[in-house]
Amino acid sequence: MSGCAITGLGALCGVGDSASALFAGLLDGQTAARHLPALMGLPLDVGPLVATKLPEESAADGEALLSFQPRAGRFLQLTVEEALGQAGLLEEAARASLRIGVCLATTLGEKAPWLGGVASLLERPEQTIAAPPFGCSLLAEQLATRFSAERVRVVSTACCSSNSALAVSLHWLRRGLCDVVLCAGVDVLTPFVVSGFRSLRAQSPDVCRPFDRRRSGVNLGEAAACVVLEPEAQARARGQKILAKLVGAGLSQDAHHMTAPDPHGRGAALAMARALADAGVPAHAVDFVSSHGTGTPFNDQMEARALQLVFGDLVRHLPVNSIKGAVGHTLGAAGLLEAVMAVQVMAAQRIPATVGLGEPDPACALDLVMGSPRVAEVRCVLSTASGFGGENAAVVFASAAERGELL
Amino acid sequence: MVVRGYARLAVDSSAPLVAYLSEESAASLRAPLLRMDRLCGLAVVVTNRLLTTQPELRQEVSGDEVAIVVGSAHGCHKTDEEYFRSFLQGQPSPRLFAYTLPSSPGGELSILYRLRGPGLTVCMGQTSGLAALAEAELLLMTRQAAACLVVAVEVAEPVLSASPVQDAAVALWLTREDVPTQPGLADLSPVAESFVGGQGDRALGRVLRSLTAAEDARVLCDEGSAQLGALALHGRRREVVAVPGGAVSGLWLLGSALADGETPAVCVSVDAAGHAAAVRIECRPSACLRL
Repeated sequence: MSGCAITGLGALCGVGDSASALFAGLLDGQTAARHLPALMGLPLDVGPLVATKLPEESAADGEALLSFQPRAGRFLQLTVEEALGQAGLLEEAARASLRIGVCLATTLGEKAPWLGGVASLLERPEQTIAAPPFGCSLLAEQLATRFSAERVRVVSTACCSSNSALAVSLHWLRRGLCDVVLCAGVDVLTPFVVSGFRSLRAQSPDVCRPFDRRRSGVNLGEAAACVVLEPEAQARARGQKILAKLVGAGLSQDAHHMTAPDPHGRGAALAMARALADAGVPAHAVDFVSSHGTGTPFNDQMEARALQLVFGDLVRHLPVNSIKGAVGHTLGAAGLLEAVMAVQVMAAQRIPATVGLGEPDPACALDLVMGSPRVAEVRCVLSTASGFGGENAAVVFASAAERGELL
Repeated sequence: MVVRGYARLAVDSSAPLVAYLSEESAASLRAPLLRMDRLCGLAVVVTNRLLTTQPELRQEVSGDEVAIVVGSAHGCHKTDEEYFRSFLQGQPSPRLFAYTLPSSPGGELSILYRLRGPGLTVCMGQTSGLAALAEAELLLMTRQAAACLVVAVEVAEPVLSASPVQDAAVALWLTREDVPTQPGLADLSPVAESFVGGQGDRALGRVLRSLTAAEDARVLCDEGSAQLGALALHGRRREVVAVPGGAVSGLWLLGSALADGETPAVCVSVDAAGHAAAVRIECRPSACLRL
């Protein structure tokens, strides 16, 4: 199967307000997780979270979250503009002859105004809620209207929404349904999701420690990320620099449990194997795995087993990291943030360390990147994600060099 | 793309879902239905209806090769509200939170029917059902799956009283033409889609122009789509069908075409945001669907 070119990147998260700032922050190896006193005026002592500061906000200390104001749309606007700017497509004239697609990944959409409506219903049950209950479509429609997109999709497959959206975008381009796809992901912190993860005992009271034997759950975060995808030939014809390529995607379901992953990792392994087969890339050609690595006891062990199933003995010398100790678990945006990281890993030939990892769990017998960034020749990256409901999605990125060189 | 099986149901929002199952199915599904929310329950009940009337569908292909694509305009909003109320009242419910994702129906269907193919959930307003069909086609044509279960599902709730939505679901079983299985019910064209912000009529015009061999076909649409797409539908032979609303509408229309057999027909969905989608359906000569 053919791949597509990545010509623009955008990111906004607790670690940085641009794609390059994200990567610099990840190489720096610090976590952005902190204790916040409240969310939207509601007391919520849930352990560290990774809040993100918008340019117009005074501080990323939770103040901005003390209202039911919509923020997700602004997150998206900034990251999509950044990515389009890098791709040379921010000016309307540059997009005029191109059929644009918008593929948005999110689990919550623009939920804050609706949550405010529900909260006020408790005091005044006779009133109605003006905000839409599920603001996902709205976010995509705003983007599509602004950038004159003809094809729009909101993909919401839990925490693997981003990788699922990348898979959809790749299929669109392969079938010639669009000339350019803005594939973006967003989710922001709300008491809704924070309290939910806490109720499931999945939110860590401590810092997130992926693959560590002391790990106790996620630090939720908020972010948006975007990649601009287009056919390679078109990017070359436009004289646009190809940053990397998206060459394969694979999806699967565990058929196991609604909130717990298959402990044997079979579903996740299926998605990884399908992504490699779709890309036409043999396992030995993968140089680095950007893992889902949420820091929950079940996920990390499951993921280690899945990688062992797919890579066999190769896994002992296959670098694996997780960025969730630094940026938090950003749900629908997670996979796209990791895509933005993966592209820069291939450009810089440096793999960020897994923040929070100090004592690797022997049950997760992987070549984990820890302590400091690792210098490595990386031409092919596998990025994985799994979510509630047993959803799994994996994608394969290759460096801008011809894919034939990998095989 | 071939429709191998089809089922649909619209239910009273106050009725227990088990009432819509056969006695035998009720015995096996009563406990799972108690565990899950109504969105998932509706998806399970309609899929049960599909697979009990055509059990061969599930037996023809390995569960690893069956994709599930779910479309919903409003998703799990009712469960979201119930969960958030439980939080505001100081007792957040982990059971409810587990169902606060629009993709939950896909997870439950995967577990119940042991399906481990690709899973996708799309939320695109009124056109979500046809959007799900479009993604199913891509999964089949790119050989990511040998068969695909497509489910459109909506749950009514007072907050949506302004929208004509009721508890309803549709399930389709699709395969590629080259998969050797039992005879199919109908052939579907690729779904044509477009978006023009706030101008569903213009989007529908594009969509209808891009559908091949559909110029003279009867157009089936719901009342809202007929109004929003009036200009684009001018001069077309059209029939307005009563539908439950939301994502279910587009796939409900396919059932109407399958039931009356007057095809080829074009099933159309348009919404006020500016989405439009359409698919051409042609029943196979021996096909007969009783709804």
